[in-house]
Amino acid sequence: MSGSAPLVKLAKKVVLIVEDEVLIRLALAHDLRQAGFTVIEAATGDEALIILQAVVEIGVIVTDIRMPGTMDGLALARFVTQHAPHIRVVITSANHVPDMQLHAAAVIPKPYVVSAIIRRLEELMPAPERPLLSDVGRG
Amino acid sequence: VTHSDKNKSAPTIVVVEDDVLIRMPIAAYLRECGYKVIEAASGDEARVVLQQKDLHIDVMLADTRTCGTEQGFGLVQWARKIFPDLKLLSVATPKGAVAAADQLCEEGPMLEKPYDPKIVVQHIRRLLDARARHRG
Repeated sequence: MSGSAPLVKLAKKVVLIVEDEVLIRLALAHDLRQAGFTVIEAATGDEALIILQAVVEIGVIVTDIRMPGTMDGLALARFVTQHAPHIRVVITSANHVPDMQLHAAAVIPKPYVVSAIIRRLEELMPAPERPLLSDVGRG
Repeated sequence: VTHSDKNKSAPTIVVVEDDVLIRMPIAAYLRECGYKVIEAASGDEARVVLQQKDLHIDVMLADTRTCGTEQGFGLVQWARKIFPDLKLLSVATPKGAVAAADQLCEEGPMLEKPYDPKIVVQHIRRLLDARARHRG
């Protein structure tokens, strides 16, 4: 994400994890919940699409690239860029895929340490009590 | 949901449901109730999770129509055989519940969809209480 991009004020710290490897998904979801995030889990890009149509509070999507179904992580990221640009996308991938940087606020190579993802999420989703750029100078 | 969790006493529930709009809210509700919850989107995922020795799963809430290679009641019957201490709570549509009742009458309670999350929690409590009494 560009350092000059305005921070978006979010009602809740909701993270959507999209990962088809269940043990990776549950470990990441557990660690993010422990870190204070509200987490929604999707096993595929198709599930993520359904969730996006049903849940409005999602701030960040953390998605794998290679997944079964009609929508892989890159297609999901493209969809979000076009249709829900207020949602930030963090891509985790073991392989470099062309264009993935274009549709993601961050790309974190696999294998990753969860603290790296948490740091990025905290940058992308400021805590409610933290001053937001949009609030500076008001008042 | 590992050995290192501080809240070791909270029972762990695995929710097996391929409809994410059903899985997501019931998982969230069970977490609100204080349970550790693992979400499995298919019978295959449930098998992977159940076989992890460091995940001590107490109850499996499973839609009997889970997707993947594990169709119908196979997952529930497999789990019953491999993990006799696991408590099972099966879910089915009204149409499927009739058939399921015949096959799973010995396997634990059966809930019809759509179910009330509060009823799910009541069943989970009963199952865990029964297991605790059995263990003496």
